Amino acid sequence: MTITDRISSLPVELLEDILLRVDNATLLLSQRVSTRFRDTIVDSPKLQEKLFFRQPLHPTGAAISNFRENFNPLLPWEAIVTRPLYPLPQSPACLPSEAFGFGMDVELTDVFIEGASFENSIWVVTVDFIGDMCWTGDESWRRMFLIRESVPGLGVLVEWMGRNVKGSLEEGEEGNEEAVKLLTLDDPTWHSSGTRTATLGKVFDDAKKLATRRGFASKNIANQDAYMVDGI
Amino acid sequence: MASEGEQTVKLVSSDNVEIVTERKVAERSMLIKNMIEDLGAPGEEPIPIMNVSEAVLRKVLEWCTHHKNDPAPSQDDDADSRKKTTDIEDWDQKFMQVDQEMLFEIILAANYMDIKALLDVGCKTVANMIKGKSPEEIRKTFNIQNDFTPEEEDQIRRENEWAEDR
Repeated sequence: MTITDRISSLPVELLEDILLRVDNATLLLSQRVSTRFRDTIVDSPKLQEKLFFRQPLHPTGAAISNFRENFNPLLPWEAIVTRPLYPLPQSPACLPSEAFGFGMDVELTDVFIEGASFENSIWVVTVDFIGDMCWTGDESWRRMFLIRESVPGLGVLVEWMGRNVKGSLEEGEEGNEEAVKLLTLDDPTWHSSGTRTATLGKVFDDAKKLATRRGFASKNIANQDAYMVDGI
Repeated sequence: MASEGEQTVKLVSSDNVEIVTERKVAERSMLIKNMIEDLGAPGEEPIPIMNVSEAVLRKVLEWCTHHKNDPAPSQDDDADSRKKTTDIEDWDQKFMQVDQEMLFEIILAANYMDIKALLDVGCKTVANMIKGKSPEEIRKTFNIQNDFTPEEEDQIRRENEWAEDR
């Protein structure tokens, strides 16, 4: 018996409702099923949000219970490091960083802030570039956000072969100035690309630009001493 | 006076078949519940369920009968948290073991009759049929026509290739 294609004639809100329950990897790839699937995914703010192509209109705040869901599960997170005090679920499933050319860690900084708690502590994303992948430039991860806006106090710290390229922080809440000073280096590049607003493409490009400007290219990876940055 | 649970209502399917059922069962459907409240005299006037055929209506009522004593969903029932899981309880899973034609009819009926929990189970069932499948496998499962031009399809493939084979 041949199956009639019923899924494609569903009202768009029902197809959306179904796709909202599908895992991100399958959802992303399913744009290639048909124009109906693609249009539904592209035109739905909720599905775009699920895929980290857009930030939530009304951030809900990052409760500990759903903290993990605020990290884009398709990106190469290597570890989410926290104080033992705040046990978090396992890191999201991820691609091996070798396949990406970079990996990312999330860490609660050990910068001590008076009155710091889970909600106002400074989380730092470390983007660790470990190689030079040949990306064509139209990969969809470039348009993806790393983290949902609701994660508190996140900053970006970029490393290349374990060396700091540049540190920066999102505007911290009150009381975080001390930490901002500690983590923000003098290059203004990163001020414009905090994790809350930056797509991975921007983080990637900025880091590469910065690395190139400082005379660091993948060819001289071995020459790490030439790439020391003052300040941290 | 008879208690609400013992009252019956008459429903009429789109193909004009009258089905008598317990009021409590029928009221799992917010559409019917509101109609009963508007009509005022339950049991007397038949309630037309315009978009649902007899076979589908009977299936839907079977679900409603099994779930007639479920607690009503709370107002602040977090829609997002429901979406995160695709777990389906055993009885519902068996209930949903129907052909695709019926599966999608149930989803449409649940949507029309405003039975959120049933719509939820239906959407989860379809989501589980999609999960982990390649675009080709999804097309095959639902018999979806690939209506992209080769160029369009190739571009989407290139953009998302990095997420394949995971």
